[in-house]
Amino acid sequence: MRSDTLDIQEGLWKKRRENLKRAWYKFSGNYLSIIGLIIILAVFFMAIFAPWVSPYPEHRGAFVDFGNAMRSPSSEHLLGTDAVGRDILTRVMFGFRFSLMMAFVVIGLAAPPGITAGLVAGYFRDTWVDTIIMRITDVFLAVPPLILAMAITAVLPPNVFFAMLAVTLMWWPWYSRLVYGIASSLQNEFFVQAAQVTGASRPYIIFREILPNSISSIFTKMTLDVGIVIIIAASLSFVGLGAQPPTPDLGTMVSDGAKYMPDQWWVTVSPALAIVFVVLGFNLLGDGLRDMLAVEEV
Amino acid sequence: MMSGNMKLLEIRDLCVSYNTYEGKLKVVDGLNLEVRHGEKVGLVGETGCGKTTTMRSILGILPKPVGQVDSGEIIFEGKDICRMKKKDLQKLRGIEITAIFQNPTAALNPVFTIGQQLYDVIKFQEWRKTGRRLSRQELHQRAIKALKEAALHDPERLLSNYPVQLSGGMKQRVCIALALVSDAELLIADEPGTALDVTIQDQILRLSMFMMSKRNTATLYIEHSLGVIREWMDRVYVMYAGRTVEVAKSADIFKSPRHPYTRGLLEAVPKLTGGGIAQGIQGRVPEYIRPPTGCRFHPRCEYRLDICNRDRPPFFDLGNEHKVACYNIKRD
Amino acid sequence: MKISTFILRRLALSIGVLLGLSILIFVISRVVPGDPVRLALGARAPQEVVDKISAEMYLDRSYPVQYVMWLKGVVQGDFGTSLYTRRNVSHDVRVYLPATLELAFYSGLIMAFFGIFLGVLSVHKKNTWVDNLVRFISYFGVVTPAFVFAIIFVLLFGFYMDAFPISGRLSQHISPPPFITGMITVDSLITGNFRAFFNGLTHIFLPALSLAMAGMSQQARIARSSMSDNLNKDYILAHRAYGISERRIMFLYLLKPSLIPTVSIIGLDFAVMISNAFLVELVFNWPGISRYGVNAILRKDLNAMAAVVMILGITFVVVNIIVDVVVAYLDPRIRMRRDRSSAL
Repeated sequence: MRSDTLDIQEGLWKKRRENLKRAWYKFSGNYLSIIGLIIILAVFFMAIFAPWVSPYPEHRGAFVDFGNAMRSPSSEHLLGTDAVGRDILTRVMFGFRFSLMMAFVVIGLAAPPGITAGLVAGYFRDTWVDTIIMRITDVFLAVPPLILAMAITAVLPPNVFFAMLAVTLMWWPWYSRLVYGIASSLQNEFFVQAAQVTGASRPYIIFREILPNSISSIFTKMTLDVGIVIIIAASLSFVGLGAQPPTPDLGTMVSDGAKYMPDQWWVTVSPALAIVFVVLGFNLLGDGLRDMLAVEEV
Repeated sequence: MMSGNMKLLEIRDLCVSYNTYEGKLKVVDGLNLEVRHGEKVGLVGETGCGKTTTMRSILGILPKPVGQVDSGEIIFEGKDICRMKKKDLQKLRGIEITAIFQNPTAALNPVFTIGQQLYDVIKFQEWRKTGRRLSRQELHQRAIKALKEAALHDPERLLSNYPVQLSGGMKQRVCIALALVSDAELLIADEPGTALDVTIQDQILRLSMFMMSKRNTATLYIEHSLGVIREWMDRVYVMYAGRTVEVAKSADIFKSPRHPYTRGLLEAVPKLTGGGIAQGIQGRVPEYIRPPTGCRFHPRCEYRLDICNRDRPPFFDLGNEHKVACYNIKRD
Repeated sequence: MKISTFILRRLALSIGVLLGLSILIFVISRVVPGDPVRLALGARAPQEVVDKISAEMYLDRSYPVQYVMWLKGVVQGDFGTSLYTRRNVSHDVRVYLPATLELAFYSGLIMAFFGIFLGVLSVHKKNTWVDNLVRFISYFGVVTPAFVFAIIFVLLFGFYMDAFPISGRLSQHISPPPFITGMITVDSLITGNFRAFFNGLTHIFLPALSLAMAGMSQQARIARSSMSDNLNKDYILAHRAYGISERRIMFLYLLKPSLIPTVSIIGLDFAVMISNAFLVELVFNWPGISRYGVNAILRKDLNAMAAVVMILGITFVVVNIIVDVVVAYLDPRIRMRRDRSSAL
């Protein structure tokens, strides 16, 4: 008897390895996704190890050296220096750190309640639970997230924390809707009905049948969301509603540097391109994930 | 009634494959087939044996870039379809060759009305054939006529309906109407009844057969169910794993099947008269990436010889249009 | 069901949503901050002023009453007094809204038509340099925030090439047309002032383009992938088998079903576009309502802010209704369904 179960387990593991191999094959076949992965790894590296990897780590906060201000890109300062003499490359690295942290916090806070709401609503489809949850979701979705986020930041002091809070509040409904769509379409699938018939409890069905089927969509969405949240955060701080100087936030850096166009263009263009760089990476990765997890039919 | 024995369609050693993650699926591997003017030819085989792929290759609608024709020829009225330019192929399609598909729901564009799709086909036919542009009136009349011929009642209303409003049987009739508008020389039908209920299936079949005999259209009828084939076809090809393994006149296939696979197929059909539960054929359809060497059926064959493993059996001519690709023809 | 019924149902649904939105905004602008007037006027404002304005805003009443009063005002077009300018917010709105609408209009045009056009072009010339170029550009369109585009365009077209103006709606030396709709290009056309019309167009080009890039790229990508997916659908193969020409298939039979996911996203892209409008308005010094709204937020002018959010919300809902109607027209399957389905 024991050898049977061991065989089955081994079989399962083999299958999982095979699936992973197959997934990697699909993923790596697309060179764009690989580029995305490399970009992300680079950004993560810079973000995590910024204090040790950046050329002038002390420049990240309040630091002035007017003698060195406004230097164009050179070998000492790869991206040049800003209006008060800080090395832009360093600040960009710390900016990555900042943006990534914001993105993860926002998504980490917004996704679980959103997913849960969607699961519950999807499972109790066509009951009052469903109606209430989805109505609330609809209201939040009715307004572009950024606008409501700005409104929320209006009544709170402008800083990073509240900006993140605002975006989080705006973000969870999107996960609800995604999961709701998946859950309701799965409702009609046989395996859910089979589980119901054999007497599985509702939470069981929700978490062991429906959720695993949503994982790949959720995961893909999360990856793509990082890029979007970074853009939103940068937009907020560009306008002055998010991070305040001297925090090295990419959006703030762009807006600070904008007044020095066109002569000292690098002050604003460098952080701007940095934003594009990191969002590009996450988008490429997310697209690759989406392709990889999609069904291939012959 | 055949108008001469002229070959209308001839497929020689056709090889078609699909490129997938797992590898190259050699779905069709050396297929040989011919259809003469006015003849009704059946192509029988299990699901997955390459029937639909064959049909798509003839029509030139293989899903690119996954599918491709590796080698071989498909000769239609003297010209090789595989080597034709797109333009010339377009001239054939819908005019000389037409088709009915398996799944009528998938075969109709969901966002256009039946009328719009029908009008368009009629318009193009006329334009291609005579260069004339038809008036709205004429289009309408012809459309109604086509729908009536396909035994659809209330054709007026149907024209303004969307496919989603029709039942499966009705949709298939519409597809038949669409296909037969052209008066083509060759009709390829891919299991037209499969997606429908059995009773509807029968209706559809009778309808298509009737319409085709009326017009003397040559037909290549692809099926996996033998009963259908028996009643209506002149000759039948049996296909297994991407190759034709036997061909004979319809009656002969049923009376004296020679290939072990054909025999197995016939025995697998449950009969109401006599004999107990039907016998299946042991084993499974081969995988197409590393198919069996020699005769593709040999792993499942109870009569297999050593040579079956090594060399692919050629077609042996048994006379009276009966050919078998098997080394075991001496038997019985 | 008929289209008219469909529209009515959508309208009814939207009213509910708008109501919910108004509650949300009300909560944000009145309930959340301790004393909204204090917050806006600052700690040093004299108490009488605070009291006076508080009375105007009915702040001494209970919340539900406040809400009803506010809503009544909104419905009548009265958003109260701006806590900053002391003017009627409605007046400000009337001045600034048309500018943003004009911008949104041109951006939307570029986004929808040019975006879909690029997508179709891409599929038509699949795997050629045209296709690759479009895909490349649209990729960057999606990953680059609107303000980065704005800045790049300003640098490129404004400073280096000096091809387009980068500030304001009209050059100094052109006299503006009379205020009919408030939209310069429209008003100048109506009054036959072609100089102003062209000048206005050059001024609106860069901001509209910056704003449209993201949505346009998204449309192009979705149109392309949707058409690509549908290329191998059975009904397309059937059309081919029946002999219909490639061109007709491409531009009619393939296009229409492929437009469905594309148009559905237009609503979303439009929303993103509207919310990004403030970025572009700031960079290009465009006197629109988004910029006004951002300033209101920065100054804690809650009345003005609530008004702006409400208006943008309404605009968005209206656009969504239009989009839904168009989608229902395109896809008869939606019209036939009675239940509310969230996915296509």
